[in-house]
Amino acid sequence: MVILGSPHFSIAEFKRLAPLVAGRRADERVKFLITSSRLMKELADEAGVLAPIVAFGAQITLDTCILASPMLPPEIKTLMTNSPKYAYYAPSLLNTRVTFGSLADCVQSAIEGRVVRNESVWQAV
Amino acid sequence: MAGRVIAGRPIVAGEAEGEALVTHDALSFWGGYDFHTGEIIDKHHPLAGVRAAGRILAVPFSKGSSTTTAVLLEAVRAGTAPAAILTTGADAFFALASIVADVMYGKSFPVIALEPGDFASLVTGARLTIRRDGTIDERPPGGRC
Repeated sequence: MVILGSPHFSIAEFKRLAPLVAGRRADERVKFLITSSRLMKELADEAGVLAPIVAFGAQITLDTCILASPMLPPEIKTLMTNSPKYAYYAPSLLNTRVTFGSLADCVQSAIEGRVVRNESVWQAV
Repeated sequence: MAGRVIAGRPIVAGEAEGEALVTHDALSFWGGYDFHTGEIIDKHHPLAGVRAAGRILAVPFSKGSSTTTAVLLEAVRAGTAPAAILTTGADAFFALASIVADVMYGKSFPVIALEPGDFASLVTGARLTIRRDGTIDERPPGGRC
């Protein structure tokens, strides 16, 4: 499962995500969840960036997050996220494993149905 | 080894007695402390899996969410909070939990700030007695009670 937005995906993030997912589709085995706020979702809709994200297969939950509300399906054992906050707290609070990656990594992993990471960003310069 | 007296600064004054549980890593109680059990549950923390309820927790400062205060307050209500908290500076999140617990539940716990050198010399298992003026009597672990 890919989870974005701890606690709330921002309008800037919606705008960055839209071109990454436009015309593509998440693998049906992957849940792609975004937690955001009502206001940010409305702004994303007005900016025209919400539709491609929904078409990609993203589910959007408003005004809470996976750490504060029990919304994770029990079969979910591993999360992929670009949020350091989700990555830090999920193992303790949700007993899941975590893979940390960039927004583009999260999208590509959702498309391929396996963890894909651009390791070059982690290499020392 | 004989006992000693440590001069602490009471951020929230009070009396407590118990066994020291010492860590040099900051802790977020939100996501890091289970108020049902009094156990430290942050899997990244060296004290993960250790029960701090009723012990005197020496932790340099809180980190992360301000909800640390709410979790600690719940722990006081549930009877699973540390008996006292020793820090290296005035930690507003810990102090607030104790102050509000006093107002809401009539139960507070001492929060005492120590000089960094004194804090660094603390060891888990020592028996500590905290007095209202912030002084702490320490008996080394394994000593006679």
